[in-house]
Amino acid sequence: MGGSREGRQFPQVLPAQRVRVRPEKPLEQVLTVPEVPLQSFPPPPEQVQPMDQKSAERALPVIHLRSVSRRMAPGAAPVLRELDLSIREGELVNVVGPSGSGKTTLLRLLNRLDETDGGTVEILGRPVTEWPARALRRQAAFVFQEPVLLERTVREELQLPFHLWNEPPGSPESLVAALGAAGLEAEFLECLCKTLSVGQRQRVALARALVTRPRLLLLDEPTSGLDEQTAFQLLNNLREINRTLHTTVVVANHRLAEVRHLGGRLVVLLEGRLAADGPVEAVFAHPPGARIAAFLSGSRPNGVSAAGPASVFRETP
Amino acid sequence: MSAPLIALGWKEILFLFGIIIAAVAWSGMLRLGLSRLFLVAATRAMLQLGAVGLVIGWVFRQSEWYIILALLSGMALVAGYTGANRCGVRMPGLWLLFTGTMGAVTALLMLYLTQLVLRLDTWDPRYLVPLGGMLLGNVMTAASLSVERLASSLSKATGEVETLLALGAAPGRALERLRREAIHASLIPTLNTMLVVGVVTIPGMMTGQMLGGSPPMQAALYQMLILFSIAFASLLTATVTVYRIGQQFFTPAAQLKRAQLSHLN
Repeated sequence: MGGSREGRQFPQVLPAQRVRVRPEKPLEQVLTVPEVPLQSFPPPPEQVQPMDQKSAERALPVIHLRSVSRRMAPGAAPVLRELDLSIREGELVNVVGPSGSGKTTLLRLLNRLDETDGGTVEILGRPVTEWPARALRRQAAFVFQEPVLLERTVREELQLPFHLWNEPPGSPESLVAALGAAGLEAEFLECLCKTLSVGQRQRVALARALVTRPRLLLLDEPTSGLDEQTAFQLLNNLREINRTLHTTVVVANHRLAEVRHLGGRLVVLLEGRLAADGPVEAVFAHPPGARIAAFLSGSRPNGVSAAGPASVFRETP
Repeated sequence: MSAPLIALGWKEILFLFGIIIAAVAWSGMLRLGLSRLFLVAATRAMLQLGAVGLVIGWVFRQSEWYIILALLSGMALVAGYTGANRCGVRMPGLWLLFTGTMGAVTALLMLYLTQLVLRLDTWDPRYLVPLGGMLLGNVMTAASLSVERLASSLSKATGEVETLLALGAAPGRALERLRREAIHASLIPTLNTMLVVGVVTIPGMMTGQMLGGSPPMQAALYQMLILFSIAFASLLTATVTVYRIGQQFFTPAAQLKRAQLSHLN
Protein backbone atom coordinates (compact mmCIF):
# COMPACT_ATOMS: atom_id res chain seq x y z
CA MET A 1 0.00 0.00 0.00
CA GLY A 2 2.71 2.41 1.06
CA GLY A 3 4.78 1.81 -2.07
CA SER A 4 1.93 2.48 -4.47
CA ARG A 5 0.96 5.72 -2.84
CA GLU A 6 3.48 7.93 -4.61
CA GLY A 7 2.22 6.75 -7.95
CA ARG A 8 -1.38 7.54 -7.19
CA GLN A 9 -2.89 10.12 -9.41
CA PHE A 10 -5.51 12.59 -8.39
CA PRO A 11 -9.13 12.58 -9.42
CA GLN A 12 -9.03 14.78 -12.48
CA VAL A 13 -7.19 12.05 -14.39
CA LEU A 14 -8.93 9.08 -12.82
CA PRO A 15 -11.69 7.32 -14.71
CA ALA A 16 -15.10 7.79 -13.26
CA GLN A 17 -15.77 4.83 -11.08
CA ARG A 18 -19.51 5.20 -10.72
CA VAL A 19 -21.85 7.60 -12.34
CA ARG A 20 -25.15 8.05 -10.61
CA VAL A 21 -27.97 9.19 -12.77
CA ARG A 22 -31.47 9.56 -11.45
CA PRO A 23 -33.55 11.16 -14.15
CA GLU A 24 -36.08 12.63 -11.72
CA LYS A 25 -33.37 14.45 -9.81
CA PRO A 26 -31.32 16.56 -12.21
CA LEU A 27 -28.91 17.68 -9.49
CA GLU A 28 -27.55 14.19 -9.19
CA GLN A 29 -26.84 13.82 -12.87
CA VAL A 30 -23.66 15.79 -12.50
CA LEU A 31 -22.30 13.59 -9.77
CA THR A 32 -19.28 11.58 -10.66
CA VAL A 33 -17.62 10.05 -7.71
CA PRO A 34 -13.86 10.02 -8.03
CA GLU A 35 -12.23 6.71 -7.37
CA VAL A 36 -11.65 5.88 -3.76
CA PRO A 37 -8.58 3.76 -3.04
CA LEU A 38 -9.78 0.28 -2.38
CA GLN A 39 -8.44 -0.66 0.97
CA SER A 40 -10.47 -2.83 3.21
CA PHE A 41 -11.87 -1.10 6.24
CA PRO A 42 -10.02 -1.45 8.53
CA PRO A 43 -7.00 -2.51 6.50
CA PRO A 44 -5.62 -5.98 7.18
CA PRO A 45 -2.81 -5.88 9.75
CA GLU A 46 -0.03 -6.35 7.20
CA GLN A 47 -1.10 -3.17 5.43
CA VAL A 48 -1.07 -1.11 8.58
CA GLN A 49 2.10 0.87 8.50
CA PRO A 50 2.45 4.38 9.74
CA MET A 51 3.48 6.77 7.07
CA ASP A 52 7.15 7.47 7.55
CA GLN A 53 8.58 10.93 7.32
CA LYS A 54 9.88 10.52 3.77
CA SER A 55 6.75 9.21 2.13
CA ALA A 56 4.75 11.90 3.92
CA GLU A 57 6.97 14.51 2.31
CA ARG A 58 6.56 12.97 -1.11
CA ALA A 59 2.79 12.72 -0.84
CA LEU A 60 0.79 15.15 -2.94
CA PRO A 61 -1.09 17.96 -1.27
CA VAL A 62 -4.68 16.95 -0.56
CA ILE A 63 -5.49 20.45 0.63
CA HIS A 64 -4.01 23.45 -1.05
CA LEU A 65 -5.06 26.99 -0.20
CA ARG A 66 -3.77 29.93 -2.18
CA SER A 67 -4.32 33.41 -0.84
CA VAL A 68 -7.70 32.52 0.61
CA SER A 69 -9.83 35.27 2.12
CA ARG A 70 -13.21 35.08 3.70
CA ARG A 71 -15.44 37.68 5.29
CA MET A 72 -18.74 36.95 6.98
CA ALA A 73 -20.58 39.84 5.29
CA PRO A 74 -19.74 42.28 2.52
CA GLY A 75 -17.77 45.13 4.06
CA ALA A 76 -17.06 43.28 7.31
CA ALA A 77 -13.51 42.67 8.50
CA PRO A 78 -12.15 39.49 6.92
CA VAL A 79 -12.07 36.36 9.06
CA LEU A 80 -9.36 34.83 6.89
CA ARG A 81 -6.77 37.04 5.20
CA GLU A 82 -4.84 35.80 2.19
CA LEU A 83 -4.15 32.43 3.75
CA ASP A 84 -1.71 30.06 2.06
CA LEU A 85 -1.65 26.51 3.34
CA SER A 86 -0.74 23.13 1.97
CA ILE A 87 -1.56 19.83 3.64
CA ARG A 88 -0.29 16.55 2.30
CA GLU A 89 -2.02 13.21 2.19
CA GLY A 90 -1.87 11.37 5.49
CA GLU A 91 -0.97 14.37 7.62
CA LEU A 92 -2.39 14.96 11.09
CA VAL A 93 -2.92 18.69 11.46
CA ASN A 94 -3.98 20.78 14.46
CA VAL A 95 -5.46 24.16 13.62
CA VAL A 96 -5.07 26.35 16.65
CA GLY A 97 -5.88 29.92 17.53
CA PRO A 98 -7.94 31.99 19.92
CA SER A 99 -11.66 32.05 19.29
CA GLY A 100 -12.50 34.24 16.33
CA SER A 101 -9.18 33.53 14.64
CA GLY A 102 -10.82 31.71 11.72
CA LYS A 103 -10.45 28.02 12.60
CA THR A 104 -14.06 27.05 11.93
CA THR A 105 -14.21 29.33 8.91
CA LEU A 106 -11.16 27.58 7.45
CA LEU A 107 -12.60 24.10 7.96
CA ARG A 108 -15.94 25.10 6.43
CA LEU A 109 -14.15 26.20 3.25
CA LEU A 110 -12.48 22.81 2.86
CA ASN A 111 -15.70 20.96 2.08
CA ARG A 112 -17.31 24.05 0.65
CA LEU A 113 -19.97 24.58 3.26
CA ASP A 114 -18.98 28.22 2.70
CA GLU A 115 -17.54 30.09 -0.25
CA THR A 116 -14.23 31.94 -0.31
CA ASP A 117 -14.18 35.67 -0.99
CA GLY A 118 -10.86 35.40 -2.77
CA GLY A 119 -8.16 32.86 -3.54
CA THR A 120 -8.57 29.20 -4.39
CA VAL A 121 -9.11 26.09 -2.34
CA GLU A 122 -7.96 22.88 -3.99
CA ILE A 123 -8.96 19.53 -2.58
CA LEU A 124 -7.31 16.39 -3.96
CA GLY A 125 -5.75 18.46 -6.72
CA ARG A 126 -8.97 20.02 -7.90
CA PRO A 127 -10.45 23.43 -7.08
CA VAL A 128 -13.54 23.06 -4.89
CA THR A 129 -15.48 25.13 -7.41
CA GLU A 130 -14.98 22.35 -9.96
CA TRP A 131 -16.13 19.59 -7.64
CA PRO A 132 -19.78 18.61 -7.51
CA ALA A 133 -20.49 19.73 -3.95
CA ARG A 134 -21.87 16.39 -2.83
CA ALA A 135 -18.95 14.38 -4.18
CA LEU A 136 -16.50 16.77 -2.49
CA ARG A 137 -18.25 16.37 0.84
CA ARG A 138 -18.02 12.63 0.54
CA GLN A 139 -14.24 12.87 0.21
CA ALA A 140 -13.89 15.55 2.88
CA ALA A 141 -16.04 14.51 5.82
CA PHE A 142 -16.91 17.11 8.42
CA VAL A 143 -17.57 16.52 12.11
CA PHE A 144 -19.27 19.51 13.71
CA GLN A 145 -18.50 20.96 17.10
CA GLU A 146 -21.98 20.08 18.30
CA PRO A 147 -22.89 16.74 16.79
CA VAL A 148 -26.44 16.41 15.47
CA LEU A 149 -27.71 12.85 15.34
CA LEU A 150 -30.74 12.50 13.12
CA GLU A 151 -31.91 8.92 13.36
CA ARG A 152 -33.39 6.74 16.07
CA THR A 153 -30.65 4.18 16.65
CA VAL A 154 -26.91 4.27 16.17
CA ARG A 155 -27.22 1.64 13.44
CA GLU A 156 -29.64 3.81 11.49
CA GLU A 157 -27.39 6.78 12.06
CA LEU A 158 -24.44 4.96 10.50
CA GLN A 159 -26.59 3.84 7.57
CA LEU A 160 -27.69 7.41 6.91
CA PRO A 161 -24.77 8.33 4.60
CA PHE A 162 -25.46 5.28 2.41
CA HIS A 163 -29.12 6.16 2.43
CA LEU A 164 -28.38 9.72 1.34
CA TRP A 165 -26.31 8.39 -1.54
CA ASN A 166 -28.96 5.88 -2.58
CA GLU A 167 -26.52 3.08 -2.02
CA PRO A 168 -27.11 -0.37 -0.60
CA PRO A 169 -26.78 -0.34 3.21
CA GLY A 170 -23.31 -0.70 4.65
CA SER A 171 -22.37 -4.19 5.81
CA PRO A 172 -22.57 -4.88 9.55
CA GLU A 173 -18.79 -5.35 9.58
CA SER A 174 -18.19 -1.92 8.08
CA LEU A 175 -20.48 -0.31 10.66
CA VAL A 176 -18.73 -2.09 13.51
CA ALA A 177 -15.34 -1.12 12.05
CA ALA A 178 -16.33 2.54 11.83
CA LEU A 179 -17.67 2.44 15.39
CA GLY A 180 -14.46 0.78 16.54
CA ALA A 181 -12.32 3.40 14.84
CA ALA A 182 -14.33 6.04 16.68
CA GLY A 183 -13.76 4.20 19.96
CA LEU A 184 -17.15 2.55 20.52
CA GLU A 185 -17.92 -1.14 20.90
CA ALA A 186 -20.22 -3.02 18.56
CA GLU A 187 -22.97 -3.17 21.21
CA PHE A 188 -23.63 0.52 20.62
CA LEU A 189 -25.20 -0.29 17.24
CA GLU A 190 -28.57 -0.97 18.85
CA CYS A 191 -28.47 1.99 21.24
CA LEU A 192 -30.98 4.77 20.90
CA CYS A 193 -29.25 8.00 19.91
CA LYS A 194 -31.29 9.91 22.50
CA THR A 195 -29.76 7.94 25.37
CA LEU A 196 -26.11 8.62 24.47
CA SER A 197 -23.79 10.90 26.43
CA VAL A 198 -22.14 13.92 24.81
CA GLY A 199 -18.91 12.01 24.30
CA GLN A 200 -20.72 9.02 22.80
CA ARG A 201 -22.68 11.30 20.48
CA GLN A 202 -19.45 12.88 19.28
CA ARG A 203 -18.06 9.40 18.63
CA VAL A 204 -21.15 8.31 16.72
CA ALA A 205 -20.85 11.47 14.61
CA LEU A 206 -17.20 10.55 13.97
CA ALA A 207 -18.16 6.99 13.02
CA ARG A 208 -20.87 8.35 10.72
CA ALA A 209 -18.26 10.48 8.99
CA LEU A 210 -15.88 7.51 8.67
CA VAL A 211 -18.34 4.93 7.44
CA THR A 212 -18.13 6.06 3.82
CA ARG A 213 -14.32 6.15 4.10
CA PRO A 214 -13.45 9.74 3.30
CA ARG A 215 -9.92 10.72 2.31
CA LEU A 216 -10.09 13.78 4.53
CA LEU A 217 -11.51 14.12 7.99
CA LEU A 218 -12.27 17.65 9.20
CA LEU A 219 -13.16 18.10 12.86
CA ASP A 220 -14.26 21.36 14.42
CA GLU A 221 -13.38 21.38 18.12
CA PRO A 222 -14.50 17.77 18.55
CA THR A 223 -13.57 17.74 22.24
CA SER A 224 -15.31 20.94 23.28
CA GLY A 225 -18.10 19.26 25.22
CA LEU A 226 -15.95 16.49 26.69
CA ASP A 227 -14.17 16.03 30.00
CA GLU A 228 -10.39 15.81 29.87
CA GLN A 229 -10.11 12.04 29.95
CA THR A 230 -12.75 11.46 27.27
CA ALA A 231 -11.19 14.18 25.16
CA PHE A 232 -7.76 12.54 25.26
CA GLN A 233 -9.28 9.17 24.39
CA LEU A 234 -11.04 10.67 21.39
CA LEU A 235 -7.79 12.24 20.24
CA ASN A 236 -6.09 8.83 20.56
CA ASN A 237 -8.77 7.43 18.27
CA LEU A 238 -8.11 10.21 15.77
CA ARG A 239 -4.40 9.45 15.81
CA GLU A 240 -5.16 5.77 15.17
CA ILE A 241 -7.49 6.63 12.29
CA ASN A 242 -4.75 8.77 10.79
CA ARG A 243 -2.10 6.10 11.30
CA THR A 244 -3.94 3.00 10.19
CA LEU A 245 -6.29 4.34 7.52
CA HIS A 246 -3.95 7.08 6.25
CA THR A 247 -6.89 9.46 6.45
CA THR A 248 -5.73 13.06 6.40
CA VAL A 249 -7.05 14.56 9.64
CA VAL A 250 -7.49 18.28 10.29
CA VAL A 251 -8.62 19.19 13.81
CA ALA A 252 -9.53 22.68 14.94
CA ASN A 253 -8.81 22.97 18.65
CA HIS A 254 -8.04 25.72 21.09
CA ARG A 255 -6.92 23.57 23.99
CA LEU A 256 -3.17 23.47 23.81
CA ALA A 257 -2.74 20.49 26.14
CA GLU A 258 -4.85 18.43 23.76
CA VAL A 259 -2.86 19.65 20.78
CA ARG A 260 0.38 18.53 22.38
CA HIS A 261 -1.23 15.21 23.27
CA LEU A 262 -2.39 14.61 19.71
CA GLY A 263 0.91 15.65 18.08
CA GLY A 264 1.49 15.91 14.35
CA ARG A 265 1.54 19.28 12.67
CA LEU A 266 0.51 22.57 14.21
CA VAL A 267 -0.95 25.47 12.28
CA VAL A 268 -1.53 28.62 14.33
CA LEU A 269 -4.03 31.19 13.10
CA LEU A 270 -4.02 34.70 14.49
CA GLU A 271 -6.67 37.09 13.25
CA GLY A 272 -7.15 35.11 10.09
CA ARG A 273 -3.47 34.91 9.19
CA LEU A 274 -1.15 31.94 9.27
CA ALA A 275 1.04 32.80 12.25
CA ALA A 276 3.00 29.59 12.73
CA ASP A 277 3.28 26.24 11.02
CA GLY A 278 5.37 23.19 11.87
CA PRO A 279 5.59 20.02 13.95
CA VAL A 280 3.72 20.52 17.22
CA GLU A 281 6.67 20.25 19.57
CA ALA A 282 8.93 22.34 17.34
CA VAL A 283 6.44 25.20 17.28
CA PHE A 284 5.98 24.99 21.05
CA ALA A 285 9.77 24.94 21.56
CA HIS A 286 10.50 27.79 19.16
CA PRO A 287 7.42 29.91 18.66
CA PRO A 288 8.02 32.46 15.89
CA GLY A 289 7.39 35.80 17.55
CA ALA A 290 6.29 37.09 20.89
CA ARG A 291 2.54 36.97 20.34
CA ILE A 292 2.59 33.33 19.37
CA ALA A 293 4.87 32.55 22.30
CA ALA A 294 2.39 34.33 24.55
CA PHE A 295 -0.52 32.42 23.07
CA LEU A 296 1.23 29.07 23.29
CA SER A 297 2.27 29.65 26.88
CA GLY A 298 -0.95 31.34 27.93
CA SER A 299 -2.82 28.08 28.32
CA ARG A 300 0.04 25.67 28.71
CA PRO A 301 -1.18 22.52 30.48
CA ASN A 302 0.81 23.00 33.69
CA GLY A 303 0.61 26.76 33.96
CA VAL A 304 -2.70 28.14 32.84
CA SER A 305 -2.45 31.87 33.32
CA ALA A 306 -4.98 33.40 35.63
CA ALA A 307 -6.38 35.73 33.01
CA GLY A 308 -6.68 32.97 30.42
CA PRO A 309 -5.44 33.00 26.86
CA ALA A 310 -7.91 35.56 25.52
CA SER A 311 -6.40 38.38 27.55
CA VAL A 312 -3.11 37.95 25.76
CA PHE A 313 -4.64 39.40 22.63
CA ARG A 314 -5.94 42.58 24.13
CA GLU A 315 -2.48 44.04 23.83
CA THR A 316 -2.00 46.13 20.74
CA PRO A 317 1.18 45.56 18.80
CA MET B 1 -91.14 30.94 -0.99
CA SER B 2 -89.43 33.07 1.57
CA ALA B 3 -89.81 36.85 1.61
CA PRO B 4 -87.14 38.89 -0.18
CA LEU B 5 -84.27 40.13 1.97
CA ILE B 6 -85.06 43.31 3.94
CA ALA B 7 -83.18 46.06 2.16
CA LEU B 8 -80.68 48.08 4.17
CA GLY B 9 -80.21 51.72 3.17
CA TRP B 10 -77.90 54.49 4.35
CA LYS B 11 -80.53 55.55 6.90
CA GLU B 12 -80.42 52.12 8.51
CA ILE B 13 -76.61 52.21 8.58
CA LEU B 14 -76.75 55.54 10.43
CA PHE B 15 -78.76 53.77 13.10
CA LEU B 16 -75.96 51.20 13.30
CA PHE B 17 -73.46 54.00 13.70
CA GLY B 18 -75.38 54.79 16.86
CA ILE B 19 -74.03 51.53 18.31
CA ILE B 20 -70.49 52.65 17.49
CA ILE B 21 -71.08 56.02 19.14
CA ALA B 22 -72.26 54.15 22.25
CA ALA B 23 -69.13 52.02 22.16
CA VAL B 24 -66.95 55.11 21.80
CA ALA B 25 -68.65 56.72 24.78
CA TRP B 26 -68.33 53.60 26.87
CA SER B 27 -64.65 53.01 26.07
CA GLY B 28 -64.06 56.70 26.85
CA MET B 29 -65.64 56.24 30.26
CA LEU B 30 -63.46 53.19 30.92
CA ARG B 31 -60.39 55.13 29.68
CA LEU B 32 -59.41 52.34 27.35
CA GLY B 33 -57.84 54.79 24.91
CA LEU B 34 -59.83 53.15 22.16
CA SER B 35 -62.33 55.89 21.29
CA ARG B 36 -60.36 57.24 18.37
CA LEU B 37 -59.54 53.81 17.01
CA PHE B 38 -63.20 52.80 17.27
CA LEU B 39 -64.23 55.75 15.13
CA VAL B 40 -61.44 55.34 12.60
CA ALA B 41 -62.06 51.62 12.27
CA ALA B 42 -65.82 52.03 11.88
CA THR B 43 -65.40 54.79 9.31
CA ARG B 44 -62.84 52.79 7.36
CA ALA B 45 -65.05 49.70 7.41
CA MET B 46 -67.97 51.77 6.14
CA LEU B 47 -66.01 53.39 3.33
CA GLN B 48 -64.19 50.21 2.28
CA LEU B 49 -67.29 48.05 2.27
CA GLY B 50 -69.28 50.77 0.55
CA ALA B 51 -66.63 51.01 -2.17
CA VAL B 52 -66.47 47.25 -2.57
CA GLY B 53 -70.27 47.15 -2.74
CA LEU B 54 -70.20 49.69 -5.52
CA VAL B 55 -67.39 47.98 -7.46
CA ILE B 56 -68.82 44.50 -7.15
CA GLY B 57 -72.28 45.84 -7.86
CA TRP B 58 -70.96 47.25 -11.08
CA VAL B 59 -69.05 44.06 -11.91
CA PHE B 60 -72.19 41.99 -11.24
CA ARG B 61 -74.00 43.92 -13.98
CA GLN B 62 -71.25 43.09 -16.48
CA SER B 63 -70.67 39.76 -18.05
CA GLU B 64 -67.49 40.51 -20.01
CA TRP B 65 -64.89 37.93 -19.08
CA TYR B 66 -62.05 40.45 -18.96
CA ILE B 67 -63.70 42.59 -16.31
CA ILE B 68 -64.18 39.61 -14.01
CA LEU B 69 -60.67 38.39 -14.73
CA ALA B 70 -59.25 41.84 -14.00
CA LEU B 71 -61.05 41.99 -10.65
CA LEU B 72 -59.85 38.49 -9.68
CA SER B 73 -56.30 39.31 -10.77
CA GLY B 74 -56.35 42.46 -8.67
CA MET B 75 -57.49 40.41 -5.70
CA ALA B 76 -54.70 37.88 -6.32
CA LEU B 77 -52.16 40.72 -6.46
CA VAL B 78 -53.32 42.16 -3.14
CA ALA B 79 -53.39 38.68 -1.57
CA GLY B 80 -49.89 37.91 -2.86
CA TYR B 81 -48.51 41.21 -1.66
CA THR B 82 -50.14 40.96 1.76
CA GLY B 83 -49.12 37.33 2.23
CA ALA B 84 -45.50 38.08 1.25
CA ASN B 85 -45.38 40.94 3.74
CA ARG B 86 -46.75 38.89 6.58
CA CYS B 87 -44.68 35.72 6.34
CA GLY B 88 -41.63 37.12 8.11
CA VAL B 89 -39.26 36.40 5.21
CA ARG B 90 -37.73 39.18 3.13
CA MET B 91 -36.82 38.03 -0.32
CA PRO B 92 -36.75 39.88 -3.62
CA GLY B 93 -39.66 38.84 -5.80
CA LEU B 94 -41.43 37.00 -3.01
CA TRP B 95 -44.71 38.82 -3.67
CA LEU B 96 -44.52 37.74 -7.29
CA LEU B 97 -44.02 34.11 -6.31
CA PHE B 98 -46.91 34.36 -3.86
CA THR B 99 -49.21 36.05 -6.36
CA GLY B 100 -48.28 33.60 -9.11
CA THR B 101 -48.77 30.52 -6.95
CA MET B 102 -52.04 31.72 -5.41
CA GLY B 103 -53.36 32.84 -8.78
CA ALA B 104 -52.48 29.57 -10.47
CA VAL B 105 -53.89 27.39 -7.69
CA THR B 106 -57.09 29.46 -7.51
CA ALA B 107 -57.48 29.36 -11.28
CA LEU B 108 -57.07 25.59 -11.26
CA LEU B 109 -59.69 25.13 -8.55
CA MET B 110 -62.08 27.57 -10.21
CA LEU B 111 -61.75 25.69 -13.46
CA TYR B 112 -62.62 22.45 -11.69
CA LEU B 113 -65.53 24.00 -9.80
CA THR B 114 -67.08 25.87 -12.70
CA GLN B 115 -66.61 23.19 -15.33
CA LEU B 116 -67.17 19.95 -13.46
CA VAL B 117 -69.16 20.85 -10.35
CA LEU B 118 -71.26 23.92 -11.14
CA ARG B 119 -71.13 23.48 -14.93
CA LEU B 120 -71.32 27.20 -15.62
CA ASP B 121 -71.44 28.03 -19.29
CA THR B 122 -71.05 31.79 -18.94
CA TRP B 123 -68.71 34.09 -17.03
CA ASP B 124 -71.13 34.65 -14.19
CA PRO B 125 -69.67 37.10 -11.64
CA ARG B 126 -72.21 36.00 -9.03
CA TYR B 127 -70.31 32.70 -8.70
CA LEU B 128 -66.81 33.60 -9.84
CA VAL B 129 -66.16 36.63 -7.64
CA PRO B 130 -67.15 35.23 -4.20
CA LEU B 131 -65.61 31.81 -4.88
CA GLY B 132 -62.39 33.36 -6.13
CA GLY B 133 -62.23 35.73 -3.19
CA MET B 134 -62.69 33.02 -0.61
CA LEU B 135 -60.12 30.76 -2.24
CA LEU B 136 -57.58 33.57 -2.51
CA GLY B 137 -58.06 34.64 1.10
CA ASN B 138 -57.48 31.14 2.37
CA VAL B 139 -54.55 30.18 0.17
CA MET B 140 -52.91 33.44 1.25
CA THR B 141 -53.05 32.26 4.84
CA ALA B 142 -51.69 28.85 3.88
CA ALA B 143 -48.82 30.35 1.89
CA SER B 144 -47.66 32.78 4.54
CA LEU B 145 -48.07 30.30 7.40
CA SER B 146 -46.05 27.65 5.59
CA VAL B 147 -43.23 30.00 4.65
CA GLU B 148 -43.14 31.51 8.11
CA ARG B 149 -42.84 28.08 9.68
CA LEU B 150 -40.22 26.90 7.19
CA ALA B 151 -38.00 29.92 7.81
CA SER B 152 -38.33 29.85 11.57
CA SER B 153 -37.66 26.14 11.88
CA LEU B 154 -34.76 26.40 9.44
CA SER B 155 -33.14 29.14 11.47
CA LYS B 156 -33.40 26.90 14.52
CA ALA B 157 -32.20 23.76 12.75
CA THR B 158 -29.18 24.97 10.79
CA GLY B 159 -27.12 22.31 12.57
CA GLU B 160 -29.36 19.53 11.31
CA VAL B 161 -29.48 20.88 7.77
CA GLU B 162 -25.73 21.47 7.52
CA THR B 163 -25.03 18.04 9.01
CA LEU B 164 -27.07 16.49 6.22
CA LEU B 165 -25.36 18.66 3.60
CA ALA B 166 -21.96 17.68 4.98
CA LEU B 167 -22.93 14.02 4.72
CA GLY B 168 -23.62 14.56 1.03
CA ALA B 169 -27.36 15.20 1.05
CA ALA B 170 -28.85 17.33 -1.70
CA PRO B 171 -30.50 20.52 -0.38
CA GLY B 172 -33.94 19.07 -1.02
CA ARG B 173 -33.17 16.05 1.12
CA ALA B 174 -31.59 18.16 3.85
CA LEU B 175 -34.76 20.21 4.04
CA GLU B 176 -37.22 17.33 3.76
CA ARG B 177 -38.28 17.13 7.41
CA LEU B 178 -38.64 20.90 7.81
CA ARG B 179 -40.62 21.15 4.59
CA ARG B 180 -43.07 18.51 5.71
CA GLU B 181 -43.42 20.23 9.07
CA ALA B 182 -44.12 23.59 7.40
CA ILE B 183 -46.82 22.21 5.11
CA HIS B 184 -48.37 20.42 8.08
CA ALA B 185 -48.45 23.62 10.14
CA SER B 186 -50.07 25.64 7.38
CA LEU B 187 -52.98 23.20 7.04
CA ILE B 188 -53.93 23.07 10.71
CA PRO B 189 -56.29 26.12 10.62
CA THR B 190 -58.17 24.80 7.59
CA LEU B 191 -58.53 21.32 9.04
CA ASN B 192 -59.61 22.69 12.42
CA THR B 193 -62.31 24.74 10.70
CA MET B 194 -63.56 21.66 8.88
CA LEU B 195 -63.65 19.68 12.12
CA VAL B 196 -65.93 22.07 13.99
CA VAL B 197 -67.86 23.73 11.17
CA GLY B 198 -71.58 23.89 11.89
CA VAL B 199 -71.10 22.77 15.48
CA VAL B 200 -69.17 25.75 16.83
CA THR B 201 -69.62 28.22 13.99
CA ILE B 202 -71.93 28.81 11.08
CA PRO B 203 -69.65 30.07 8.33
CA GLY B 204 -70.22 33.51 6.81
CA MET B 205 -71.03 32.30 3.35
CA MET B 206 -73.66 29.86 4.57
CA THR B 207 -75.19 32.56 6.80
CA GLY B 208 -75.26 34.96 3.90
CA GLN B 209 -76.91 32.47 1.61
CA MET B 210 -79.59 31.69 4.16
CA LEU B 211 -80.21 35.39 4.73
CA GLY B 212 -80.50 35.70 0.97
CA GLY B 213 -83.26 33.12 0.99
CA SER B 214 -81.49 29.90 -0.01
CA PRO B 215 -82.74 26.69 1.55
CA PRO B 216 -80.37 25.85 4.45
CA MET B 217 -79.48 22.47 2.91
CA GLN B 218 -78.39 24.15 -0.32
CA ALA B 219 -76.39 26.65 1.70
CA ALA B 220 -74.74 23.76 3.58
CA LEU B 221 -73.84 22.02 0.34
CA TYR B 222 -72.29 25.22 -1.02
CA GLN B 223 -70.32 25.53 2.19
CA MET B 224 -68.96 22.02 1.70
CA LEU B 225 -67.97 22.86 -1.83
CA ILE B 226 -66.00 25.85 -0.67
CA LEU B 227 -64.45 24.08 2.36
CA PHE B 228 -63.23 21.11 0.35
CA SER B 229 -61.87 23.43 -2.32
CA ILE B 230 -60.07 25.52 0.30
CA ALA B 231 -58.53 22.42 1.87
CA PHE B 232 -57.17 21.19 -1.44
CA ALA B 233 -56.05 24.64 -2.60
CA SER B 234 -54.27 25.29 0.71
CA LEU B 235 -52.36 22.02 0.49
CA LEU B 236 -51.34 22.73 -3.10
CA THR B 237 -50.28 26.31 -2.34
CA ALA B 238 -48.31 25.38 0.77
CA THR B 239 -46.50 22.61 -1.10
CA VAL B 240 -45.53 24.79 -4.05
CA THR B 241 -44.41 27.78 -1.96
CA VAL B 242 -42.47 25.67 0.52
CA TYR B 243 -40.59 23.93 -2.29
CA ARG B 244 -39.86 27.15 -4.16
CA ILE B 245 -38.89 29.14 -1.08
CA GLY B 246 -36.86 26.23 0.31
CA GLN B 247 -34.58 26.35 -2.73
CA GLN B 248 -33.92 30.02 -2.09
CA PHE B 249 -32.11 29.24 1.13
CA PHE B 250 -29.37 27.33 -0.70
CA THR B 251 -26.72 28.28 -3.22
CA PRO B 252 -26.21 26.21 -6.39
CA ALA B 253 -23.20 24.64 -4.62
CA ALA B 254 -25.54 23.22 -1.94
CA GLN B 255 -24.52 25.72 0.74
CA LEU B 256 -26.99 26.97 3.29
CA LYS B 257 -27.28 30.77 3.07
CA ARG B 258 -26.85 31.35 6.76
CA ALA B 259 -26.61 35.12 6.42
CA GLN B 260 -30.14 35.19 5.04
CA LEU B 261 -31.45 33.37 8.08
CA SER B 262 -29.63 35.44 10.65
CA HIS B 263 -32.14 38.30 10.58
CA LEU B 264 -34.93 35.91 11.49
CA ASN B 265 -33.90 35.42 15.08
